[in-house]
Amino acid sequence: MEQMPVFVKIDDYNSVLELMRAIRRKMDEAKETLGKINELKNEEDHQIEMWQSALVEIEKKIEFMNQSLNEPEQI
Amino acid sequence: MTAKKTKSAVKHHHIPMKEKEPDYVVQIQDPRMVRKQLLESLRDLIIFMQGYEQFRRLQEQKVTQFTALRNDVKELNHLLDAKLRHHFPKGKVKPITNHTSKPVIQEPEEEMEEEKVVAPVRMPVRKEAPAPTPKRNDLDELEQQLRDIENQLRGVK
Repeated sequence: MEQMPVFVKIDDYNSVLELMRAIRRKMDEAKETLGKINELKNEEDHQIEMWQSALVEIEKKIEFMNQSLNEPEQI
Repeated sequence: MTAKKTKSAVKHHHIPMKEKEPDYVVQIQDPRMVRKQLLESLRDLIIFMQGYEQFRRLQEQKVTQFTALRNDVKELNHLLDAKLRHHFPKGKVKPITNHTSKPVIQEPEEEMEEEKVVAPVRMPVRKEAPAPTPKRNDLDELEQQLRDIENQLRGVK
């Protein structure tokens, strides 16, 4: 089936253009906000990784102290 | 009598008393190192707690940003749905709704029929199951006989 061209009559063309501009601005704002959320998420992930490594380090130190108290001959 | 009393009193005093555990002396090979490890562990724990505070702040910021994003999307929806759509024609959607309504009505009927068929199969009692089948067979036989008679009548005409 052959497609026919479609024409739409727009009464207030300038206001539609202005509306489109407003929509694009709002889209940019939304994208920026989402970018900030992504940054915050990355910071959170980084913080969790730091916690994980800190816990591993503390565990090592506690293990060393435990060994010093329980098996001093092995140190 | 007095001697007995004193004995029992002495026993009573002896029972709750715990024997003192012997003192152990542990030689620490590297006391400076142990002390260092202990202090470092404490320092790391304090840093950990500071990190928790920072994490909480990050989460608060994230909630604020999520609220802002939600407002942005709401406003976008308003701009697109209420304002921009107002400038464009709605278009004719009647043929689409007619097409979509037909299968919607047919599908539940099919499902209902399937359920009706499945229900007797799932019945645990098998003696009841053969009862409707002879009826169907009888019906089939009657229909077959009717068809034969009709065919014969056509031949006669």
